[in-house]
Amino acid sequence: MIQPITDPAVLEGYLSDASNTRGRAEALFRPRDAEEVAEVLARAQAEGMPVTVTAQRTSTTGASVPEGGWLLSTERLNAVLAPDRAQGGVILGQYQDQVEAAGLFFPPDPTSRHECSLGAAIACNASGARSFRYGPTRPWVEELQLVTPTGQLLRATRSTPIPDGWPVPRWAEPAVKTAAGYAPADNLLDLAIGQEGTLFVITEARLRLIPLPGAVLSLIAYFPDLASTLRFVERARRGAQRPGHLPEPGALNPRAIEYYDHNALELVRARVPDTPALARAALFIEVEHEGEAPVEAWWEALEEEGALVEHTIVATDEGARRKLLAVRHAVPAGVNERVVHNGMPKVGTDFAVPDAALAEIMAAYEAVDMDKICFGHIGDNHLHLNLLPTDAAELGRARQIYRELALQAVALGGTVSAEHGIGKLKRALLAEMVGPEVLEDFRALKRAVDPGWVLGRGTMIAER
Amino acid sequence: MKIGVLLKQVPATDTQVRIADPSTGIATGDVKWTINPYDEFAVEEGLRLKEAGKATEVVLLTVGGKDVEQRIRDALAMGADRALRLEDPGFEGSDCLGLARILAAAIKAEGISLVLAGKQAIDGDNAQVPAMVAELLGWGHVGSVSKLEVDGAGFKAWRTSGGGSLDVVQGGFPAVLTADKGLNEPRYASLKGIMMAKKKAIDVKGAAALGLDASTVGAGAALVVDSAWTLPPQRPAGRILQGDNAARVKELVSLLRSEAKVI
Ligand SMILES: Cc1cc2nc3c(=O)[nH]c(=O)nc-3n(C[C@H](O)[C@H](O)[C@H](O)COP(=O)(O)OP(=O)(O)OC[C@H]3O[C@@H](n4cnc5c(N)ncnc54)[C@H](O)[C@@H]3O)c2cc1C
Repeated sequence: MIQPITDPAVLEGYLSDASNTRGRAEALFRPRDAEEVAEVLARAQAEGMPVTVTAQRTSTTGASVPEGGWLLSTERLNAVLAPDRAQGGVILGQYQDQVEAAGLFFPPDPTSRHECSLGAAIACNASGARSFRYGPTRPWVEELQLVTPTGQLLRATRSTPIPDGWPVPRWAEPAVKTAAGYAPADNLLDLAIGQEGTLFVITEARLRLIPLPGAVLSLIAYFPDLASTLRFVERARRGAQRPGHLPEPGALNPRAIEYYDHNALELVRARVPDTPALARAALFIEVEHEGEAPVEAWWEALEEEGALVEHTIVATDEGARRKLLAVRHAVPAGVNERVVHNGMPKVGTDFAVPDAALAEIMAAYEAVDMDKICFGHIGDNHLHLNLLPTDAAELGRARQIYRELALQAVALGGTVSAEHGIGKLKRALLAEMVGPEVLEDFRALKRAVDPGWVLGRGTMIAER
Repeated sequence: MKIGVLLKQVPATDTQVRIADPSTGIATGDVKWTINPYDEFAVEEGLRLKEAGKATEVVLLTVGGKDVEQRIRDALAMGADRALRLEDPGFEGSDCLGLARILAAAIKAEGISLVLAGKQAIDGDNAQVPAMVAELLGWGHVGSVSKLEVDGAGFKAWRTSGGGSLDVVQGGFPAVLTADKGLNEPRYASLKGIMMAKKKAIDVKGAAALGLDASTVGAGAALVVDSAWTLPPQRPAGRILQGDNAARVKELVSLLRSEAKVI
């Protein structure tokens, strides 16, 4: 029988996540296989003991922070079993490095991929810059081994029906990149993706791999204003092969389009002195290509839409790409320095809206009257607006602004969380987004799968 | 003043290096290549001198086959004016001295008066070729330069030497200087640079064109021959001490003293 660890000094390391919320727990289990996971969950269900699945605790939402009870860590489920098969606790980036060394590609690329686990990326349907082309984690999962909160082992593929008696909510998810609420799934696999560790523990996954793209052109283009930036985004995504969109043949075909506002550029400028003085915004773009890099086509488009084209910097190989990454990393690093300097947490958005609403939400972000830095996945209309309050009063105002912007994003047909998930901190926003009826449907499903409401208690939805 | 920059391609640091069979070098089949990072400092310094009006042209020189052309294009994209690729069946198997003879001949033929190079290539770590080039040409040489000033009369070069002291060397042209980290921060390649690089010339020259005596280069003339290569031994696995904390600390301290010999 698997034994718990109760040493407070050990537990201490498992009580908070990247949101800096702190929880409490009485015991920690570190199962070595799915059977041990099942054993812990069966016991918890019998005792009505809350269990929080914890992986690498990079969640920004409190999702992996326990509100008492037991912790179930996936850290020992860390074997890569075959190129396309791995256990849930494997570090995503390490798995991808192995796969790529064999010439294969697993596209999901949350910024935290070198720290976070594969199982959590699936549980949270994580996404990243490349999701513009490849979608979030969901389409890259083909089969899962799951343990239910009653300790049952299940295998799930897209042809596995939802077990009888589990009322999967039929609701209209926003038609944008989203990681908020239970998927209106018609199979067990899709139900298990994006449930944030509240319905199942993911112990093993079989993944869809594709050949590693041959060559990638990366570029950072600078723009004199927001208008030209938005014009260019519009143009650049016309030809993109992105999920749910028909590409215009012959047009530019980027796999990622990332945005940096003028405040983000100030942070870059501090580290990269030759950032052009006139730049008020920048786009980081990646393009997969066969043969020669399509530099002329990008030059022409940038020039026509009014970019500061002469200043566009590029990378065509890994070494140069790492240098470009230094430009990009200057932004989150600079944000963190400001947070430390201010002694106040940042308030960061994770909303996405439909293509047609991009300009409107950007205008709303621009209009916010507070120290702020905006950057992110503009190709998917998914920006992170970071508000940087300097005192408690401003923090209160930042939270108010955050809520208003969330509701605006929802009113525009968007989501309150495109990638970070709901966790414990955004439950109220999810409730506002889906409305009381759908929320009740979520609860009904949760109760059916987890009668004692033991797994991931407090995450995504409150018991009542 | 014409500047020549010596360029070498090396395996990228994220490439898994394997030994070839027979073991006289690395298996190059699936290696990802990059410009030797110290050479990138040399290219950058050349470009800065040209931009400051202290040089008229920056010419890249490299000994190698067609497979180095992408690295040449990368350096041309940074802004170098043109390139010479030195290739000849007779060059194959050259040791550092052979390579230096080839490069020295090209440098002389080009009328170059300042040669910039990396202080060493990070693959073989020989750090020999630039000094040999200087010797063959009878020019002055300063290695591992981390700061450089150039005026009409000559140069002033800063280099860290043993024990952390800083040498300041003054000299005139022609000269060979090799670049260390800190000399500059190489620029990002630009979209414009890549487009312009496509139009720049890469001339290929062999022994005859350089007026080289073929018997002084290549495998036949090599004084240094690599007989076998092996990978460094695998690091032994770490050890996890068992028992209660008091016993483990005791054992750890004794191991640090007797085995690791660090205390
Ligand atoms: C700097 C930084 C950048 C980030 N960038 C991104 C980004 O670009 N895109 C993005 O989507 N997210 C991002 N995140 C958020 C976070 O990294 C992801 O949500 C990630 O998937 C969490 O992985 P983890 O292993 O740390 O999981 P944890 O934080 O430990 O857990 C997260 C949630 O998943 C559940 N869970 C974990 N493992 C399992 C499992 N095997 N089975 C079932 N449930 C499980 C937990 O219970 C919890 O609810 C970022 C976070 C940080 C700190």
